[in-house]
Amino acid sequence: MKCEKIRRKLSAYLDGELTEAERRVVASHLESCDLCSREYEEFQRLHAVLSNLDPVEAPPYLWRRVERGLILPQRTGFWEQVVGRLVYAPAAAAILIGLLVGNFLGQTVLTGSPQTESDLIIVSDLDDPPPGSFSDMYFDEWEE
Amino acid sequence: MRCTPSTRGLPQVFTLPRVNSGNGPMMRSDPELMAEVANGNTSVFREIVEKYQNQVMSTVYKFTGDYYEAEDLTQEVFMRVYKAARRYRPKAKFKTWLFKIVVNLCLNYRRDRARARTESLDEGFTTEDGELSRDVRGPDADIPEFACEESEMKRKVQGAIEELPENQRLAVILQRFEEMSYKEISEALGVSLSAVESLLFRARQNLKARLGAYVRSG
Repeated sequence: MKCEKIRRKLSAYLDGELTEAERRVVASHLESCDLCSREYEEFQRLHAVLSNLDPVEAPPYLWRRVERGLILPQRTGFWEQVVGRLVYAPAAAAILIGLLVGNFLGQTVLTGSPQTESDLIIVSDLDDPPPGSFSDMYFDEWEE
Repeated sequence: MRCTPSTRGLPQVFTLPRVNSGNGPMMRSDPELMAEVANGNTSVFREIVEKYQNQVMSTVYKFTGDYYEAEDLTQEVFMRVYKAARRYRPKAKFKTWLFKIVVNLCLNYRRDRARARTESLDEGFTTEDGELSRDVRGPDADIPEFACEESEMKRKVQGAIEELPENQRLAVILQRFEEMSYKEISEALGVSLSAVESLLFRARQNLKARLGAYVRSG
């Protein structure tokens, strides 16, 4: 096998990823070829240099970050927001009904203006209080 | 009543291997844990995260060279693992499946790099345990002065790795630091065995050229 082909196999040879037959061919070539042997030494040295890189540890709060990342989107998703807002619907409906009823009562009672036929009868009855009643005495006193 | 791990959601053809740690209680295998995660068991998922977080963080850091990007990407990796738990099939080795997700996120990293970061580096966040702050020191923060030379070499090695084309970089990181076989790397990268061999050969040639002073013989 030519040097170029052997060199292309050196990386896999170093990693123990060649077949037994390939491994024997490369080993035999390295014993007889200084250039390829030097190339292999450099690969071995590179292997050692890379080992100097320290492993990097995850921060101690990583699980909390992952947990937060999983929980927050569920709490703030579109449908969750819609459902969350529906909780306030009964309260909003109660307030609306209260406003409508209040408005109706305000128009019929607080303004004092009669709105229906029965209201007119009641108001006209007040013009002539029963004789001897407290209202009759009050109006007599007031007219004097 | 004795509780057994639920396998709901998994096809019946798969049997979950159990790992016996000798005389002690049965240790649950990764596929068993993932079956529970698939059913939404977050406390079991915590076991998975704590088992693999350093390996994932280390790989992603070597790829990006940025501690905080690595932290964000590692978080993203595990969130994707959780969301994809139902798609995991026990016939695939869990670590290979996990690193396939790592590889995909790393390859998307450059594309997303320009995206504005959503959190500032020292921004605290609140959990059920109260307010937590992030440690803004880099991984070299505790290196003393006398170790500067060694630190310089480490920086050059890290820099040389970062300059590799992405596929070569990932192949080297997975082979050298995660000690994955060519077959596992081919599965994680989605390429053939001969492509892995070629990627690693070219990666080493490039690294030799960039780190000449440290590796040259004679």
